[in-house]
This record gives sequence, structure tokens and C-alpha cells, in this order.
Amino acid sequence: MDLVEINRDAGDVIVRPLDDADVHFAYQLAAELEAEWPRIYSYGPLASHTFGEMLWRDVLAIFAVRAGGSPVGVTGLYDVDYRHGVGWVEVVLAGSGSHGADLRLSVAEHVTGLAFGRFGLRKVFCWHAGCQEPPLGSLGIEEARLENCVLHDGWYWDRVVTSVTSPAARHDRIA
Amino acid sequence: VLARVGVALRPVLPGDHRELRSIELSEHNLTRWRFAGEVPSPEEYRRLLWSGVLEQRVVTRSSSPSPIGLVNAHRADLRSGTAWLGVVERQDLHGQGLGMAGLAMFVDWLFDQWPLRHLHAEVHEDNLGQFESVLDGFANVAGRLRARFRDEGAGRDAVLVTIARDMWLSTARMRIRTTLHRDAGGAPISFGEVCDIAARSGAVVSNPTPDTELADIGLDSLAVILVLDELEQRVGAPLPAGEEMRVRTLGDLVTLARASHG
Repeated sequence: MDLVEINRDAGDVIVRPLDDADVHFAYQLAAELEAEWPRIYSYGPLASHTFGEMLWRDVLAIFAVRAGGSPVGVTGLYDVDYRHGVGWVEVVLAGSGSHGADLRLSVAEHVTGLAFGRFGLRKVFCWHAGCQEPPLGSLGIEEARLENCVLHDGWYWDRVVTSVTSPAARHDRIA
Repeated sequence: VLARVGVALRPVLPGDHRELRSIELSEHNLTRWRFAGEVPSPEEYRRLLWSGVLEQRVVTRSSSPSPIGLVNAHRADLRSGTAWLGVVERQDLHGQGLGMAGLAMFVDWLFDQWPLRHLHAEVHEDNLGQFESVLDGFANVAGRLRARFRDEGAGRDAVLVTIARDMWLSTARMRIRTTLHRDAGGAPISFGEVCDIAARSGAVVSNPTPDTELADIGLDSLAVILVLDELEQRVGAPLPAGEEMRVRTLGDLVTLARASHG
């Protein structure tokens, strides 16, 4: 079992590979967040009998996030393009950010570190809707903004792309 | 309906898989299109061809049904009214604008058929000029994914482009149709084409001549308006104002369309 503990002021946070026992929580999370979980939202309406397949679709690695002994979110790496050394990450936390920027940043550091250190990617991107906090927090740099493209709670919000470049690639001409 | 001079779109047929795979896996397209250098098996290709696709069409020359490219709309979010565009064309035809012409026709079709508000495309920066040559003025750049691609040891950007429905319908559509027609050589409309258009609007056309009265072949005033609308689309320019009241025969339609074509 790949277990990662992150100790932060927000309390002990555990990030571990997502398994069958987490699927029900993830389904509730997707239903609560809707457009704030862009990958799942892009697959269309939620259905409990197909959600498990949705959860692993296009994914290279996916993890459950627990804080204070309770599940609080999901993070992962998907749509990986090894040829070009890039991929997409998601940091999805319950409560629309009520866990705070510190937890978000901890998880973002974990998943980006995994992308660069274990999978050898040089850059990762992340989608989010304009109505939510940037999932990568202060790590992410905004690269693109598709205006008025996400319907959420009766409003059209921007769809934003942020990115993080690996430390090694920052010194490389490719970056 | 999708046919324009020079380029046509048609559905993907089972017999197209081999040719389309060959187009997608050609040297230039292999790393710049969806497979990013990987080579899927023929069986896997058949599955991936439709993965996440809302609509797609084979691009052909009007004169031949053989595929010269593929256009698709994928990753559709129908709640928000968005989808992503893809276009790939035969490597030896790059730079001729045929794939882009097919894409413009496809965009037109999508906005006609689906409740889409925005179409997006991720364009390799080296292909942007080709894209802009057709869509200049109504495709907005939403941003750049810096160094999204790695080509020959250097980072190359992906440019995210957006086409908004409102702008397309209000200004772009007629301009695109005019451009497509002009670029294709601007062949004057023929009497046969006019008869075909009339038939699509409900006319019963048998043994037509230029003197055939529109009323005699079942075209009432509403049907004539439909015919004139399609003629405008075909010639890519407005028909002369006020002339429609004088149209009585098929020959008058030809004269009117050719006058508009200039």
C-alpha cells in the first residue's frame, strides 16, 4: 500500500491509493461539487452504476485524501501524455474549500511531486471553474481562460487552466 | 447539405477505418494529433475513433468519396453548451486549406444542429497560421499552454482557441461561406444546381427548362423564399435586394444567383 502522510497545521492528512471503499464517498463528492470536479463533470450526468468506471477513466494514478480520520477529497493524475511529458492533475476537496488553503496546497504538492518524481513528467496542468479556488493554490500559474464556459448554479463561469512546471524542466529549454 | 465547392463532409463508414488510421499515423500527424506518437492497433483504433466523440465527419473532395481528412467534436459538455474541435488531414495536402475548409463547414453544421455556445480547439502553435487563415476574426485566443508539446527537443505551445456561437451566426457564417466559395474557384451556379435546390424545397421538377414557372412545379411564395435563402448560402453573398419579387421561372433564379455571385 502506497501510503503518504502529510503533516500540516490542518492536522494529519493521509493520501493513499483510492480503492473500492472510497467510491461511495467519491460519488457523493461528485454530486456535491458538480462542475467543481471538471474531469468527472465532463463525462456527463452521474449514474451510480457507472460512476466507478468514470472514476478510473483516463487516470494514471488516483488517491483518496483523508484528514482527521475522515475522507475529505480525491486527487490524481490523468490524461498523461508521455510523448510530450505532460499530464493533468485534479485536487478535489469536499466543502468547497472549507478545509482551507493549507490542506489544498499540501495535496497539490503531493500530486505534483508524484507527477514529476515518480512518473517523470515535466509539466502538469489543472482545470478549474472560475467559481472555485484554484486547486493548485499558489503553486499554479494561470495559462488560459475560456470565458463563460461552465454552467454552475445558474451562472456561466470561466474555465481556467493553471500549470506547474517541474523544477528540473524550469532549467531546461523545453520549459 | 454539407457539400461546398471542392470539399464535402460525409459520415464515417466502416470501410474508412484503414484509410483514416493511415492519415492519423502519418509522420506529421502522428505526434501532433491525438495519439501523441503512440501507434494503436487497428482494433484499438476502431474503438478510439469514437471515444468521447459527439459528432464527426470524413472530409473528402466533392469529386471523390475517398477520405482526405477527419473533423470531429469531442469532450462535449451539453449542459454548458461547449465542445472541442479536432481536425486532421492527409499529410500531402497540408497547406491547401482543404481540412480547414472542412472544419469551417463542420462548425457551421454543429451550430445548426446542436445547442452549443462555444467550440474550443487546442492548436499546435505551428498550425495556428493555417487555422487563422480560415477563422481569422471570429476565433478568439483564450490562452496558451506553454511548452505543451515537445518537438525536436524544444517546447512548443498549445494555443486554446474559442469560437463563439453568437459571433459565428451574426458575422462569420456568411464570410466563411463566401471565402470557401471564392477559394474553391467560385464556379458559377449551374441550372442543374438550381433545380436541385428547388427540389429540396418541395418542387416537383421533371423535364425542367429555364422557362419552367415556379408556380407550376409546386413552389409557393414561402417555398420560393426557402429557395432564395439556399441560393444565398450557395453563392456566399446576399441576393440583389428587391429582385425576389420578379422571380417567376427557374431561369430567373439562375440569373439572380449569378448576378449576386458577380
